[in-house]
Amino acid sequence: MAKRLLILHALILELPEDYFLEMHDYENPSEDFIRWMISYPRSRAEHEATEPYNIGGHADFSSLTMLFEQNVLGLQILSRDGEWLWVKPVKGGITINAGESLQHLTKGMCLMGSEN
Amino acid sequence: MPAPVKSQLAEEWSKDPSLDPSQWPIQPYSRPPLTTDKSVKYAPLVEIDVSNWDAPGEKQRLADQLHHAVRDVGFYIVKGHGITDEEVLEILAIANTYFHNLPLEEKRKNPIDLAAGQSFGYREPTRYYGDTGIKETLETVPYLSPTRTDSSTKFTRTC
Repeated sequence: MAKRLLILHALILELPEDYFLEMHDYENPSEDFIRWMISYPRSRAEHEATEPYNIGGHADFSSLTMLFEQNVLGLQILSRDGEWLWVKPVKGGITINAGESLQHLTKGMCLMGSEN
Repeated sequence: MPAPVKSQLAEEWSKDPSLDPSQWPIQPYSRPPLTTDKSVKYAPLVEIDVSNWDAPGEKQRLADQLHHAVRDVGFYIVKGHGITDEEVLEILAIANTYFHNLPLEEKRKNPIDLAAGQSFGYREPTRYYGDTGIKETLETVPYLSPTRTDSSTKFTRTC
């Protein structure tokens, strides 16, 4: 599936279709990985107490990150207007987040997503 | 020139038998029900369906649909990707088993070294938020499997 998305990115940038494919070959050694992640619940009071230590979001280092929904509100993204908005889980949908590498590879033509 | 440290780690990590899910008793996993919270503001994200990929003109149509999301948002939703929900739930079950059933000493065999800028290894929630006395709640591990043949590896190839 990532292949299809990378082809679409090339088309959007009016590049040859296979422009991003060679550098994302599953058969070659890479730092591609699947990350398991769990966030344990905490109380609202604990959340508020730790809020000053919130680093204020981040971007992924990757080209593309795929997020598999679990029906919980766990992701906020930064809009161009500087507003943090929640991502709604979509049944059967995969949320795609463009990372820093993709922004770099496209000389900034693809915007990396900032998330919290 | 020395080989990149991160890739070496990735290689060792992928060969560690303690991280082979086929050796664990996998607990089934199901999601909590889907609900909508009316009090929060959702991001209007584009949804594309890539299931009709080989139809004439389809790629260009999808590219046009995705143009704004790629250039100005950085996020979008993909549907019709061919990855079944059973496959996703299987991976979530493995991950859930790792977090809840694998002994801590097993997980600690491959600690992440954040200070060295590494991205591979088990991240145990051990740090505290400043002087609040409240511990961080995030536990993560990258499951890296280029040399394995189990379902997680199969899954990454599907993605």
